[in-house]
Amino acid sequence: MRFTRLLRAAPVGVALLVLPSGCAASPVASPDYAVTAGIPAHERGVHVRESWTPAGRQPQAPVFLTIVNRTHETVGLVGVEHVGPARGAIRQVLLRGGHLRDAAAERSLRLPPGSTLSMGPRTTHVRLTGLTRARRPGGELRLRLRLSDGSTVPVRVPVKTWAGAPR
Amino acid sequence: MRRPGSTRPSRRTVLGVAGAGSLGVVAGGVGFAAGTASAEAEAGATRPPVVPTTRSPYGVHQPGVTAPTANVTRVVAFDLVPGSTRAGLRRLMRVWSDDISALAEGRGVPADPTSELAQPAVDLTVAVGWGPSLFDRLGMELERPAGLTRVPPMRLDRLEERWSGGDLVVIVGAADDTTAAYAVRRLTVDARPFARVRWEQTGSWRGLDAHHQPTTGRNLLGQIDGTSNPLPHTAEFDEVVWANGPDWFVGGTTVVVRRLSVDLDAWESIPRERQDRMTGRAVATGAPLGASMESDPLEPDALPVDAHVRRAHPNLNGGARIFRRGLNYATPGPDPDLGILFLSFQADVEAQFTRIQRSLDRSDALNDVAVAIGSAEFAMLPGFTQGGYLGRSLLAQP
Repeated sequence: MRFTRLLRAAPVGVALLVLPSGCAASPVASPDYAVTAGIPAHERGVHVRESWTPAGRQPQAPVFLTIVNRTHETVGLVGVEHVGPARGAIRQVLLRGGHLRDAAAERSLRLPPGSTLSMGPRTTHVRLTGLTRARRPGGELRLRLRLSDGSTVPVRVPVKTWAGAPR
Repeated sequence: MRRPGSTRPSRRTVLGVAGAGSLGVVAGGVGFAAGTASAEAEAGATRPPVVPTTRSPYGVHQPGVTAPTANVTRVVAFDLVPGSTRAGLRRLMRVWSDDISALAEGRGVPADPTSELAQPAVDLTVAVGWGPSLFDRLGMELERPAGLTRVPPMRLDRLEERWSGGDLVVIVGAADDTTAAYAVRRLTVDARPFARVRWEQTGSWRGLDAHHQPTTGRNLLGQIDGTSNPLPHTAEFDEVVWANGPDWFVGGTTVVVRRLSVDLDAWESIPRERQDRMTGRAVATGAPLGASMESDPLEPDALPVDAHVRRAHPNLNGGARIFRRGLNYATPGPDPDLGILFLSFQADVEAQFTRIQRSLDRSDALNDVAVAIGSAEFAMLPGFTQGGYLGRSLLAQP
């Protein structure tokens, strides 16, 4: 599904985490790959890590992932496509009327250079609808993230058992 | 111990002065030789203590191979589930690579219900390898590295199935066992659709002295173990450890995991002088017989013919060397089994480990007290970078 324009800021109550890349609290020990100034050439780009979707049979499913912008440019996430029949949408969890509400994101997501965007349960996430097959642990879904510069990032999303899934 | 002429303490130095073998080679002393003990202690007391750190999960090589021996190491072998495919292995490698990145940097893994256990700065490393049987089962025989061969049964081996073999291995090192057990739990859960645990072994190591400075460390026989290891990031280490091919395996190595049960009652009943001769080094100081320092040169021809370090010495084995990591294990209970979980890294199992092991099997005084009860071999994969995954250089191909 296409998404609209770049976000200027996340709405209040959205658990949108934009963190410095490599946010571990302590220094990284490997001198060959520690990023102390600039970004090593082999690591440049927009990377997706730690993606997953819960196992299930329903036609809709959330997808959680982390996007790392290891470029020198601001990047916008403008849409998510399923390689298959489903439609993808970016959802945000908003605090409305004292309750958390899951709603379509009103703007695209903006990743400044070096930033990390984490999508997880009860925060911003991708929702797929129109899935036609059950997702079993060990399987995977294939997505394409559409970026504001017109490029796409392919993502293979592992299917995992989720202790927090509705029973 | 410290390298001569160096201000940097070293746990694996003194290159080429001793051999290697099934029981980590002995060297060094309890702390230091008598004449230098106070000076060393004073120097150690003034240096900042070594503290756990966050180790990058990325690199040309898997960091778990070259990192200093962790306080705790869990070695877990897996068997692929029936019907496994190359595509399934690729999915598992993707999942594990993501898990490893998260764990090493102090984050919970995806779908982790216990993510609060994840912490940075815990010396965590995870290294992954494939056994010879994996290549056979997945029809990848032609892609198996030539250096990955099975260690043939030795005359004195008493191998048990419960500690031997495996299609896959993960070697998890950490500063504490809570962290190591947590990492193993997450990796095991995520492996369930693809593989089941075959065996798990835990070893520990004390690689710091009284001042929390790196030292060689001792095995449960009291021997200093690891003295003459090649030093990571040296040309010698590169030659001994890293495989030359095939292309997809550049940056990888092989590991042999041996479980050595030690009869400590028998060992401890042997007079110290005899222990020294059996080993070829003084147990107390780690010095070669007739010398005074762990770092003193070792003359193998001057040692008893069945001394462990002589039998394992490169001079007696066509120059063969290995990078060894000895870990202590101790199973609890009224009839405990204690010994050494011995990890041997090398470019070529047959040309290096097996050659040395044959020499030890023929005549090693320590065979009187130690016996191999487990054995397994694995190809330790090249490392990966952000956005990549373990084994990609092979599995990305159709």
